Parts: sequence; C-alpha cells; structure tokens
Amino acid sequence: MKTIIYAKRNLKELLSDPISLGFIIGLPAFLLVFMVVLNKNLMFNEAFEINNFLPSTIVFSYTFLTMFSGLLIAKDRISSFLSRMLVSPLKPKEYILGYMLPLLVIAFVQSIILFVIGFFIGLTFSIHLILAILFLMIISFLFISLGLLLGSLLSDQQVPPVVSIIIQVVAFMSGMWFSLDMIGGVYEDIAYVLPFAHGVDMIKSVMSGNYAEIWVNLIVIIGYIIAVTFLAIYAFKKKMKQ
Amino acid sequence: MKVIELVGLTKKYKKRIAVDNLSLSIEEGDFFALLGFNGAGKTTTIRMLTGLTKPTEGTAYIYGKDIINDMESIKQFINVSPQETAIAPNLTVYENLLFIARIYGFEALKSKSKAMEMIEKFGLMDRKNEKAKKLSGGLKRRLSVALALITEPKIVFLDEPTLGLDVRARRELWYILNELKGKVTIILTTHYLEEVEALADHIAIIDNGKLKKIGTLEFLKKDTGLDKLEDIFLSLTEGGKTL
Repeated sequence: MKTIIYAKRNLKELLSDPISLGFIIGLPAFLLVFMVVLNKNLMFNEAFEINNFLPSTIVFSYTFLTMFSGLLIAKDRISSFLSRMLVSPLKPKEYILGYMLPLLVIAFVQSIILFVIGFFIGLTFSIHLILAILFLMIISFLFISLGLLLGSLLSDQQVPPVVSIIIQVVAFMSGMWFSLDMIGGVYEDIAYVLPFAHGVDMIKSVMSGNYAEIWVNLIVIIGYIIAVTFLAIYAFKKKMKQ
Repeated sequence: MKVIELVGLTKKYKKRIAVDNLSLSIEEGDFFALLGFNGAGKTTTIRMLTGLTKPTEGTAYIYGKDIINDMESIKQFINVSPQETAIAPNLTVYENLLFIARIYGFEALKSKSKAMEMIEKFGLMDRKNEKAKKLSGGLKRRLSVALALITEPKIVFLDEPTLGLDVRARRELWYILNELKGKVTIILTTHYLEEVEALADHIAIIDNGKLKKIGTLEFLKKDTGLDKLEDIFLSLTEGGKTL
C-alpha cells in the first residue's frame, strides 16, 4: 500500500511536466510516422519498414524513461526529500518500487500509443502484438533501472548529458537506423555486447511469432536487468548513507 | 522520563571524527538545542539518531530502543525536518501533507483531517492548493516543519529549521515551535543563539564532535560565570577563542 502511495506521488511529479511528457511520446511518434511513410514511397531502407522500425522506435522511446527516472531521483536526493523518506517507516524495497512503478505505467502508455499509430501506417494486428507489449515491459525495466543507477550516482545537472550519450548509443547500436549486419564486424559485435539490439531483435521475433528466436535475447536482457538493478540499489543505498 | 539516551555515540570518517564519544540524555517533552559551529557534529548526530547513518562506536536509545538494532520500530514515532527544505515540489501544500501522513500509515480520512489541521496551524490556508515549489523560502520551511509534525511524532528533529529565513519568517516559526513545547520532544540544531535563548529548555554545546557543556541556560550562565549565551558559546568552542 505504501508503495502505491509513494508511486502516486512520483507519478504526479512526473506528470507535472506535460511538455517533457509530450516530447517523449511526440518525438518517437513523429520519427515513426515520418520514416515509415517516407520509406513506403522511396523504399530505401528495410530498417524503416513498420515491423522493423516500430520495435526499435519503442525501445528508443524508453531512453527518455532513463532521463525521467534519473532526474527524479537525483532531484529528490539533492533536495533532502529522500532523507525524509529514509527516516520514514517506508522500507527500501517500497521506495525503489515506488520509483519504478509509475515509470512502468508511462512505458506502457508510450508503447500502446506507438502501436496504435503503427496501425495507421501499415501494422497488421495479430495476437503476437499483445505478447510483444509484455516483452517490451521487461525491456522498459532495464531503462528504468539505468535511470535509478544514474540518479543515485549523479547530480540532476549531470544526468541529462549522460543520458544523451545513452540515447545516441541506443539510436546507433540497436539497429534502429540501419540493419546492424549491413556494417557487421567489430561494430556489430559491440552492438551485441550491449542489450539494446537484443531488445529490438526480441520484439521483432515476438511480433512475427518466431518465439524460438527470443531466448538468447531474453537471457541477455534479463542478465543486464539483474546487473543494473543490483548496481542501482547498491549505489542508491551507499549514496544515501554518505 | 529519559526518552533519548546517547551512550558514547561516535561517528568516524576516514580522515576525521565527526562525533566523538557523545553521551547525554534528553527528557520527555523537552525542547533541546544542540549548539555548535558548522562541522561540529550536530547534523551527523541527528543523522545517526534518525537512522540515516550508523554510528561507528557507541549507540543511543530512543524510548529504550537501540538505534542500531531497532531503528525500524523507532521510525514509527520520530520525524525530522532536514537542513535543506524537504518537500515534494510539484505536489500542492495539501498533497504534501496528505502524502506524508499516508506514508506513516494514517488512514485516508484521518490523513485528510490532519492535513487540514496542519494547514490551519501553520497559516497555510490561502496557499493550500498551490504547488510547494511556488512558495517563498519561509513558507517552504514552514511546510517542511509541518510535514515533520503531521505524523504526531513523539520526538521531532529540526535541523536548522530557520536557516536563511528573514526575521519575520523566523519569528513566525518560533511562535509555532513555542506552541509545541511540552507536547513533543524537540531536538533543535541551530546557529542562531537568540533562537536557543527564546525556545530551549536545555542546551548542549558541542565542538569538534565533543560535548562541551550541557544544561539549562541558567545553569550554563552560573557554571561559566558569563551572562550572555554568545559569550558562553565562544568560551566553550574553538579552544575558547573570542574576538
């Protein structure tokens, strides 16, 4: 119950900035429509076909969750609001979950909106899409944990530039703008050491019903989630004791 | 009845000792002031007593419960107003109060009536629905103290609650704090000596993490042979250097 109360407060804090919220849905939506429609007319890149570009755009949109969660935690830490929470009877797992839950809600809404837009520009409905949303929620968890980690370590002024780097990495190393095997070599190897391309590949497989192909990607992503969440909780607790 | 008892409470960091073997006790309902320069160990002491950091040596008992092993149950009846204003900036004044009451386990209905009671007591009625970030520095402090008191704590820690306030805002907060005397045990840290003179029942002067003197203002005057708290404070800190 206390987790929900805390999550509600965090959701209110997040929703208090409608311009940013519009941006995190508006920018990916614009990219999705613009690139898919352009590609339909010019046929220049298979990465921009709806079944390829929709999963990568949704994963890309989650980078803004990293920004949101990082900023919220960094601001709470610096303003002493977190100290007040830590003195309260709230348990550590309750406030960590309290940060994550509202961002999961936003991730869910982001995904649904982008799927709905997808239907207008050529996405065909199938039962696999419902499962894709479930798997997307797992991926969103990774980005939220990343925000928790950055918000625990950095100040609210340091979070945006660091997240900007992550946004670039996701854009260029997830297969969003071009198929990674087009470049191949070390570039592709590095991309697959990171979790983002695995996330995009996993969602593409789920959307096309190729469930046999998801496991390696899923294991890599869950591995990253466990590692990042563990590091985030460790950093959070350590920082609060300083 | 002793409600707080510090027994050799010590906090060491790599290069310095922030709190050095502090032993003292505080009675129920007391308005207790911790006085010291910046870095004297006041905030570190409060951080240990509120569970934000663990002592390196020694311990403290709050209502007989050990802060090292029993902090979870202590948290139910203490609250704090930290040094920096600790409010949720994008919640309204009312929502801030409601949120804290609910986090401490108050039922929804009681939380609402408590929130209104605090708004009235702290003179925030006309700003009730305003976002906390839009309040002036003085009103933010007032809200921060109200957040510490809405949970009906038996002990409240106020870490420099009037820091940076103008004379009027400070006086207004004094008035509110004075009303609480005897009803709640208050531990106050401050740099303002006139605040201590106006409000405190007992005063502890600490310097470099060590307790220098403790007692009522009258006792300190008699013991040191000095008339002004400022002179007493200066004679007991920084090796007794006066300007």
